[in-house]
Amino acid sequence: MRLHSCALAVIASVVMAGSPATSVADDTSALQDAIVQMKKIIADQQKIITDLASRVAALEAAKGRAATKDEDIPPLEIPTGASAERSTQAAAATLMPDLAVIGNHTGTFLVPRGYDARNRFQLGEVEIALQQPIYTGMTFYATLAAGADAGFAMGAEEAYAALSRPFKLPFDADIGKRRIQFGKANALHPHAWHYVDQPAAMAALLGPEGLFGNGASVNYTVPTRGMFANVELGMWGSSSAHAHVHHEEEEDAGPDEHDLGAQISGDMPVGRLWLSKALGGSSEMELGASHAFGRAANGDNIRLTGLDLTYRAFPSTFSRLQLQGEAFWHRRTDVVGGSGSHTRSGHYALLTYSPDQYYEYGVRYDNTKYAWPLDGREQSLSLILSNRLTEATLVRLQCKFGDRTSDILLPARKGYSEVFLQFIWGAGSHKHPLQ
Amino acid sequence: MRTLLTAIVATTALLLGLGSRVPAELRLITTDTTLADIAKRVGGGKVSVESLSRATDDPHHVEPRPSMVVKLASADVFARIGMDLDMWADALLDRCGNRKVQRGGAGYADCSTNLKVLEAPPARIDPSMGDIHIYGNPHYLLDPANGILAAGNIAAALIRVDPGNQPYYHKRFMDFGQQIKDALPRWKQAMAPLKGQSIVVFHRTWVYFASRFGLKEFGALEPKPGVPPSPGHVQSLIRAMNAENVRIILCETFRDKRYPTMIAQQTGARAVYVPVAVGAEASADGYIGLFDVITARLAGPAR
Repeated sequence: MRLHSCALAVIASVVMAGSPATSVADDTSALQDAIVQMKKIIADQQKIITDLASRVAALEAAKGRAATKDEDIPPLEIPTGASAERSTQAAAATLMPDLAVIGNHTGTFLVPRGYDARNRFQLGEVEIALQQPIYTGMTFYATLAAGADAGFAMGAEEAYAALSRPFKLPFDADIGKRRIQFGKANALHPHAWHYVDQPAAMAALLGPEGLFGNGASVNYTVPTRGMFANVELGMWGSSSAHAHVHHEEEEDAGPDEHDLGAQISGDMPVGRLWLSKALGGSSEMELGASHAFGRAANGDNIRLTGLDLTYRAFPSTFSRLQLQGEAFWHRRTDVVGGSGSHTRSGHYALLTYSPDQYYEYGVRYDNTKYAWPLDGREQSLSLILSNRLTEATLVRLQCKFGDRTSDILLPARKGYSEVFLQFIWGAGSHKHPLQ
Repeated sequence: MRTLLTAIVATTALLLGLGSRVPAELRLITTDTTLADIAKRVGGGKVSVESLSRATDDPHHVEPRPSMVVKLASADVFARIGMDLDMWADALLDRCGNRKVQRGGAGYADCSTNLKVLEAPPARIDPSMGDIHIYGNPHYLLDPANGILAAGNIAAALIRVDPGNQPYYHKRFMDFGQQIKDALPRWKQAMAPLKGQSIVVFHRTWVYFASRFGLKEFGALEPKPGVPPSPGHVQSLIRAMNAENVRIILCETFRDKRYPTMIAQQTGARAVYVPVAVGAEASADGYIGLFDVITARLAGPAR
C-alpha cells in the first residue's frame, strides 16, 4: 500500500509538471526529478522486502529448529509401565530359539603314513547350537554335533536345561547331557579352543573328545564381593560326545582311541571348586580343583582328579595374555585282576598372546601317560598362530613337535613334526557358559 | 593331593570371611563406563556404581570373567547398552544367580529401550556382511540426546527397586536431562563449521553422532563391520577421498593408528582420535565432558 501511494504521488507531480504553463526545459527537469524519486522509492521498498524476507526466513528456521528439538531429543520423562519394558529388541520378536551353525575344518599334515586323515583338509565336525529361555529362570541349551569320525551321524553332544535359583533355592542347576565342568578346558566346545587339537593329557585321561555326562548338577556361587568362589556338584552318567557308529571289525582290534580317557562306566559323581580373583582391573587369576569317581565296565574303581590354574591379563584394549595349566591324575584300582592301583598323570601348559583383535600367538607344552591299562606316553611342544577374520570366522595353524610312544591317537614316532590347519566358520548367534 | 585340596578349601573359607558384604547404598552395575557415569548422575549418593568394562575397552570385545560375576551377584540394578553390543554380559547373568538383575527383573535396565534405532538391518542378514548387529547400530550413546534416554531407563529401574526414593531419582534425572539440553547448542555451535562435511570412520561407531551434528559418513576403514582394513580397500578409499575432498578421518582412540595415519598422509585429511567412553581420557571425565572433548577435537584447527 505504501508503495502504491508513493507511486501515485510521483505520477501526480509529473502530470502537474506537464501543464501548458510550463516550459519544455522545466518539463524535462521535473521528469528527471520524478524518475530519481521513483528509483529511490523502489530501492527503499526493495530493502524493506529483503528485510521482511530475511525475518520470515529466520522465523521459519526457528520454527523448524523448535520442531526438530521436539522430535529428536527424547522427552524428559522416565519411562513407566509398558514403555519401560518395551525394548528395541521387541522389533525382532520371534518364538524361534537362537540358532547357530558352526563348522570346524581340520587338516593334519606331515604325520607318518598310516593315519587316515593324513594330508587331508576336511570338515571335522559341524555343530548346530540351539538356545532359548523356556521358563522364568530356565534356559535350554542344545548342541547337535556330527563328526567325521562317526560318519557325520548327528548326535546330541549337549542338551540340557539350566535353572537359575529353582524354587528360590540358593543355587543353580543343570539337567541333561553336557560337557562336564571338570577342569578348565573340558567344558569348552572345540571351536572355542585356543588350539586345534585337544591337549594330550585331556585326550588320554578324560577322553578323546573330553568328559561328557548325562545327569544333573547343582552349582553354588558363594555370595562374596572379595572373590569368585563357585562349587559344582554333579551326578552324571558317563556319556560320549558324538553318535558312535559301531563297526564289527572294531571287535578285538586291540586298544584304540575309544579305550582312552576316564573309562568310567555308569554313575559318576563329580565335584569342582572354582576360585577366581581380579588382580587390579586388568588381570585375573583362577584356580580350580576337580574330582570324579566311578567304576569301569569291569568293576575296577576309578578316581580322577584335576587341578587347573589360569592367569589372564588385558594390558590394553585388544591385547590379551593368558597362561593356563591343567594337571590330571587318573587312578585305577584293579579289582578284577588284583594288580593294585595304577596312577597315571598328565598335564599341559598353554601361553597365548593377542596383540590385537585379529591375531593370537600361542605355545603349548603337553606331557602325559595314558590311563592304565593302556601303555604309552606323549610329550610335545606346539606353536600356534590364529587369525580371527570376524567374530565367527577363524583360521589357525598349529605346528607340533614331540615324541609319541603309542599308536592310539596318532602314529607313534620319536621326534615327530606335525602340522594342523583349522578353519572355523559360524552363522547365527550363540553363547557359551562362563569359563 | 588330599592335603592340597584341604588347603584350597581352607583358603577359600578365609577369603570368604574377609570379603563378606556390608550392604550400604544400592549397587548398580553397568557394562560400560559411559553408562556408569550416567547412572551416577541419576543415582547420586544413594547408589554406588561400577562398570564391568574399562573405559579403554572396545565394548564389542570384552571377555567375561568370574570376578565380574561377583559384582553382578550382589547388584541391585544392572544397566546395559543392549542391542547385542554387550552380549558378553549374558554369560555373567547366567552365572550370577541374581534374579533381580535378569531380563524382566526389577533391576534390569536395557538402556536402548525406546531408542529411535539407526541402521536397522534389512530383514535378512548373514555373516558375509561382517559382524553386523541384528538390532541396528548400537552406538547410540554417541548422540548426547540419547544420554537422556539411557538416564530415563536407569531411573526407571532405580525407582522399581527403590520406589521410596522416586522423587530423588526423578529430580536428578530431570537435572541431568536439562544439562544435556543446555549443552546441545554449545556442541552444535562448535560443530557448525563442519556441518554437511563428509568424514571417514574406522568402524561404524559414529552414525548417531553424525546424524546429530549433520556430518556425512563417507566411508569406513573396515570394509565390513569387524573386518580389518585390507590394503585394496584402503587404496580405493584413498582414491575416493581424494576425488571427493574428504578432510576428516574420525577414529576411536583405541584403534590401530597405522592405516588412518597412512590415509591422512596420502589425502591431506586430518586423522582425529577421540575417546568414545567416559574415562578413556582424563578430560573425558563425564558424559558432558566426553562430548566437550569430541566436539573440540573435531572442530580443532586443520593440520
